[in-house]
Amino acid sequence: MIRTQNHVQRATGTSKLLGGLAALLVAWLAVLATGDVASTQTKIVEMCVFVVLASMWNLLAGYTGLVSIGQQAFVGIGTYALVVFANGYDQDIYFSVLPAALIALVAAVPIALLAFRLRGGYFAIGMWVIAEVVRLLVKQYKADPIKGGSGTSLNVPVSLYPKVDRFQTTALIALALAVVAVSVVALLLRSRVGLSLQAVRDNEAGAAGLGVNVYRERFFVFMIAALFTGAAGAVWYLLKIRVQPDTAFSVGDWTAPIVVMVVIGGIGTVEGPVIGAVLWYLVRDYVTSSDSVIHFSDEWYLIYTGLIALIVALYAQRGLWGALQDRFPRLQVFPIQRRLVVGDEVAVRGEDEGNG
Amino acid sequence: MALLDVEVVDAFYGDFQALFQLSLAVDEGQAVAVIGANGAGKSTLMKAIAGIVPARGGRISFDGIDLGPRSVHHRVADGISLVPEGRRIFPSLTVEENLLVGAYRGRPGPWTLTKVLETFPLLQRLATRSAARLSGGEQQALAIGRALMNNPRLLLLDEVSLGLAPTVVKDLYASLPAIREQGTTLLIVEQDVTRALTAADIAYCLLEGRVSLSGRPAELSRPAIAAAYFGTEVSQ
Repeated sequence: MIRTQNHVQRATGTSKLLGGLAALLVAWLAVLATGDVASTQTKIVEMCVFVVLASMWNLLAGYTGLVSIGQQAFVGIGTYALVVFANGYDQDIYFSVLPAALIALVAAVPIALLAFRLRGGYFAIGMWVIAEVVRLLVKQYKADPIKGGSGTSLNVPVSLYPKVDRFQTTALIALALAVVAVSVVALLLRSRVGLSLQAVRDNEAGAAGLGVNVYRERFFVFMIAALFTGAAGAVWYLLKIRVQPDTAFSVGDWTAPIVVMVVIGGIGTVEGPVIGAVLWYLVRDYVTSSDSVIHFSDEWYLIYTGLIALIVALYAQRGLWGALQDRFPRLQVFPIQRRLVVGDEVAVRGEDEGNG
Repeated sequence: MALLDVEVVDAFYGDFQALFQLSLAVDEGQAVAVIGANGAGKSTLMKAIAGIVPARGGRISFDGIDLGPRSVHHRVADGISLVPEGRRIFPSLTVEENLLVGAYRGRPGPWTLTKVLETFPLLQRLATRSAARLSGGEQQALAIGRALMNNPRLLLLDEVSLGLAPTVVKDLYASLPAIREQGTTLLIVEQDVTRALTAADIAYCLLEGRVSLSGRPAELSRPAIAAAYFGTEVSQ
């Protein structure tokens, strides 16, 4: 069929190729996850959790302009909800991830109603304050199964959850969660909502004037971020077992490094945060291991990467992925951008691909 | 019944009153110009109609329906589109993505991506370009095209000529007949009096938040307009 009208094209040859490569990578990680090397499985879980957190933080900050430094609230809520379901109600620990994520989502409703009254920097700080308040409230709950500030451990009797089995299952869940989270972000941004979210970020009044319900869209995105952030927290502790409010609600563990990953990888892109998270994690894994050529402590790694993020934010705002895209304009894994194909070209394409 | 009816409306910015008992009516298919000096209340009037600034007292109705309780996005869905002062384009999106945001409410009608690009040929060849890289005139064309994507019944044009070269303004105004042909009603706010009067069937002049003069442009004398615009006595 020869179409004379212009139409909007999304996928490019490069995106199909890179998409295929990404699928292969996931398949390879799935094979590793089902192996019996606990240290590899730990790495998969940690990396995937960071990918989820970075994708969600980017969805908020990079696409809706909601810069939150209180996302650790949802990590902590997801984690403690897991503890309550698994320890308190004797549910299967893997199954408990699901209600834990839903609890994080439900908790996000009042948090959003409160925090959305604030704008910009005030919202950022407000979210931090809310996260701290939740942490302190959890610490006050001294009874079972939370056990206050001294913390507790997820109940994983070896008879029910053999260690090898638990590491395998957790790695697979983490991998699946990362794939779903990134896919949700990509699909969301491809949708009508995604385009309007970017419009809101660019010019809120302009978007509102075109009929975009800014509040509702932000609220919706905030809920999605809470759901996946909560799930990520729960998955992390399936592996780590030991839960304390100060670590589960830690801004230094769950938000500060995430910001660094997103900024270095490329804020406002789907691919950037994934690459930022993977790179940040793998480099840290290398430089903090005792037998590496360049060696420094966790703290120094945070300081160095924080400095890099600062420089990127000042001089290369689109980050690593943005810089790559500047050099190779057609580069994209997730075809969320819309390109207009003018008349004739469509006809040729239609015939080539036989999809008329 | 007029398509848009503004009846004795007051509007405020904080404590500052910008509109006083203002009334005007726009019939379907008309092009109505609102002229006036800086601070006369023109943009406030546009914002009150679009729902960005609340109208206090009085009543604004669109197609017979009271707009009072309707929020901005409801009014856009009703078919009121504002081309805002300052254009407010989305710099990180391409030209065509900007246009697609305009179609957010999904109102059916003659305006599609293809039709808008045909009407503004200069946007056609820039379609895949980042909107941040457009000139002022191109951005203004984009802002108008984007509002048209909503297939509005009433298009509010706020200071289209602001900061643009005369030839660019001429081109933009040359696109208005094509818009009217589709049955779209126009309300044009403009400081450029000649431009506005040429494009309009009816003109209103605002002075300090009140209507100081109204009528068919052909029937308004230059001295009368000058007096209504500046608030001076008509000198013979």
